[in-house]
Amino acid sequence: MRSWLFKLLALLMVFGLVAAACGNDDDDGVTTGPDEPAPAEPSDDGDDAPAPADDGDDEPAAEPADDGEEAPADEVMMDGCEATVPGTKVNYAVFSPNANMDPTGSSGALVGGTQIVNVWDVLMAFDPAAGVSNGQAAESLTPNDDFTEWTLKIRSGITYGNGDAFIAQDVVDSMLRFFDSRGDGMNNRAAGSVGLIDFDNTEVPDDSTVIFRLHRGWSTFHTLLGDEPGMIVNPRIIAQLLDEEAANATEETSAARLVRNRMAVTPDLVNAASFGPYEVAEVEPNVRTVLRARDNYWGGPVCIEEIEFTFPGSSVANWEAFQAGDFNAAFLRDPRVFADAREAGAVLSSEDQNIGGLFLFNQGVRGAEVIGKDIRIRRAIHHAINRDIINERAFEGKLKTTNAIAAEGTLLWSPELQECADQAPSYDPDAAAALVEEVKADTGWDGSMLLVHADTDPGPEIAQAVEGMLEAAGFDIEVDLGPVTTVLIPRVIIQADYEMAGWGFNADGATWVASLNDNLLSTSGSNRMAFAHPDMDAALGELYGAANVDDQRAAIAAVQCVWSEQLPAMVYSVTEEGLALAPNIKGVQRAGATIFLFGNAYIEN
Amino acid sequence: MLRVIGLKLVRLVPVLFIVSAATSLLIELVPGDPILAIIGTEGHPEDYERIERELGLDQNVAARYLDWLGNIVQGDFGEQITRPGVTVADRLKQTFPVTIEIAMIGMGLALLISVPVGTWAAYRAGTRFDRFSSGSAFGIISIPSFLAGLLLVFLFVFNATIPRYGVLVLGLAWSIWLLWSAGREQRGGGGGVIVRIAAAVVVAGLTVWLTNKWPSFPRQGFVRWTSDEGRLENLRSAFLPAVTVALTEIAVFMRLLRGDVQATLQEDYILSARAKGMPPVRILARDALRPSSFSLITLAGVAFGRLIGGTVIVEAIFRLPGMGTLIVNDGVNTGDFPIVQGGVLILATFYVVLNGAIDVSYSYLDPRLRRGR
Repeated sequence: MRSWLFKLLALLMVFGLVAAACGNDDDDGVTTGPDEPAPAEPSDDGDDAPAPADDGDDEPAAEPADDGEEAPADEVMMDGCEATVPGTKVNYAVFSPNANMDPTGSSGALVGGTQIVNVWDVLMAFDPAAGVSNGQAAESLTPNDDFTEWTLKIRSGITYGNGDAFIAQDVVDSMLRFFDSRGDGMNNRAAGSVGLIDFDNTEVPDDSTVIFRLHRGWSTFHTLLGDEPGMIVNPRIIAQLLDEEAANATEETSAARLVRNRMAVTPDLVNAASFGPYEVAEVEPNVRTVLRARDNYWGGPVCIEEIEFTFPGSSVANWEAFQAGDFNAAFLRDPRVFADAREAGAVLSSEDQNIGGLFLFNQGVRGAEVIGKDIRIRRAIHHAINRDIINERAFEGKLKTTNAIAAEGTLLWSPELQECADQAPSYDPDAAAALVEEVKADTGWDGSMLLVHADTDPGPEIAQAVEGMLEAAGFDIEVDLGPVTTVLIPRVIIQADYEMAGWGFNADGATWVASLNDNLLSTSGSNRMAFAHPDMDAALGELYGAANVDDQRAAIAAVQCVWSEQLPAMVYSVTEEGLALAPNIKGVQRAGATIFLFGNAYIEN
Repeated sequence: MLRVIGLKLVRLVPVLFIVSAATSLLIELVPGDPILAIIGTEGHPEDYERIERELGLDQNVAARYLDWLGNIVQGDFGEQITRPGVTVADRLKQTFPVTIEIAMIGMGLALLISVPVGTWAAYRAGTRFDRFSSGSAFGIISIPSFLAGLLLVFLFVFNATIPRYGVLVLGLAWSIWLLWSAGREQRGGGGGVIVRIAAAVVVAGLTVWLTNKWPSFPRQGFVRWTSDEGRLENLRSAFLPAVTVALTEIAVFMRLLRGDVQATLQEDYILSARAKGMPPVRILARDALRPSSFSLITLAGVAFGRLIGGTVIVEAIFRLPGMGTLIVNDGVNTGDFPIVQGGVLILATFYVVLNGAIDVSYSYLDPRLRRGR
């Protein structure tokens, strides 16, 4: 062979290789990286029609959200499909794995809320933009004038996975189970609120009606029916399981607890006792939960065949994996990640949790003699801490800082509330130092204070920034930094051995009343600070009876006024949380502030 | 032989007893309280003592260990404390296959690459190939596995075009070089022209195929071998973690084998084989490699056992639901001792059995050892 032949062959090979290798870029599954961001499709801002479900006629009037936040990516799907579409799947990155598929063993959006709501469904679905709830498995929910009596009408024709019909008595029985399981090793945040139902006087006049009577007027009782207590567990199955477990129960382990443990590991039981859009197909604890579309969902065909919930480990991990294409839905909860997601044009459905960034002050829990009892110290801390410094040092300037318990942009914020918030001591290091000196001189206190903080990112940076600012004002700060379960919970909850602690109430539209009452009411068992003030108790009482959003705003403003005066804790930010969704997933509905229902969702193309 | 195996199995019992007792003591010293994990941020202090009694955690460490031991003897690994109703055996069944698959693929890749490269480097000691492979090995050894994992994620997940077109360019260059060398051979009147052209075509074809079919690799997660999604998905999800695991081992194995083979190649019987005109590949594969592989097998066995228990960093980087994640996240972090005890027991058993098997394998590799017994 001649040398020109080799040259020709080499040349042909060069062209052939390049052409062949480059000619098939579009369908070869190459990963989309950060340099190929997701299509920048803005989220629909509530233009879609409201949910087709009948809402409670006499609910407080819906008001348009003026918070400037992204509305749900696509609230409602109409005619998404005629039957479940084989092969469609949502890969959902969760914030943390759910502890239990039983609603009594799970807690909120962060710990399994979305997983379980898609299996159990809810009676009412909360619309955070409007502050009202729409009927889901319930047809309507109507209060009386003082909100002490609520009439619930359930939808007809709903059947559980085992074929039993869903009847009104089931609502009461299921909620009673919730009520009875309090203190039985469960840690559901909604359990306390169930105690406001007067079960002795609650009536079930027929198979489709429940008349709830409450121990006190509660205008946002509807939010409870959108939370875990609104997820109805077939009481006949529970009764049967209780019978089976009666023999295994001991003094320490009740049959109810054994039943809950069985539910945690037996998908068939969960599927038989539920009527939500999905059934549990597989549970791998701490790793993943797989749900498959239920054939006979009362709301019509479920379009998306499968949802797989996986726990990558953190918001950053969720977002990275979402960008890499591993997930088409990812729960986010970090302001830096949200900033990146917005920059990348991701479709977001998020909500600001008020009082998300907070410092608790121990004011004498279980009779402890602590310096936080002295309001001058609480005032000094407010003067000493600059929220912007926390933001810069720990959050790259991307945190939504606020001095208000309802931040500007959230539903219950008002100028009146902000006016009260601004009355709280603002950053003034000289004033802080003067107050610290005054207390030292008066009491002989040496300035020492224990700050407890979680070490989850960016906890160390927050603690370090706060330590520096407080020491500049004359405090002598000892920082105990560690995991939530080994430092924060024992220090704050079990031993009450702290003086200042990084915490969060995370109050959203659905949990305002319960959250503030749990944490601030003088008689609440969940008041971690021992804060007690009659003005606060009175203001919180008003919150229960606030009839509509305007009244709620006024009541929250009153709480803020007492807060700014008494300084039970120091708010420094809201916590944004929510979902990044692939643009082709439509029809995802909110069941709570950041709990998402996929019963009406579908995947375009 | 059966007696040897039996003796090794008997020795397993005290080892496992010591390991499990030591683990039990160590877990006591590590911060972490399963009751706090159960109580959570919504709990109340009065729940603590009740749950402690209910779970038997008010007993001292010795009593708890003996309880656990009594159950283990009956084959019961117990329940996870922080996940009531979930058995430790189920968690181990879920996580062990993930870890062992990553370790096996990693070891397979490491041996697949290091054995031929190390052997050839020894045969061509001092040449450019030897210098290049040795230099690369030192470079790879110096990269810690967590960094290697992150680099792989950067390259193969977020910037997949870089390795993809890198392969294209290298393939192209290789094919051209093969053609050029074929031309040179042709001009010089040497043989092997057709072989080189065929090799160039094969390399070119493979390059095109690979570049076109370049798979996307997941940032995290694991598709199981038994999953409905299929074996290819399983291999796709296991690839990057396995490569991360393999990288360090490749370099170490290669260096070790190169030295051993080089020493073997100085033996008289090799010189004799060469003198007889045996082809180099046959000499290397049949005569030199086997006696040179003792150290490699010992090291590979130790490394494999270490990987089974030590993939925690790789599991963390790629968020794999393996044994390391289970023991550290679900066990140590929350003080869930049945998980730690069960996990460590399985790993220790595997490690000891593996090393026993390696001991037994020596007698197959070297008949003199068999006769010696």
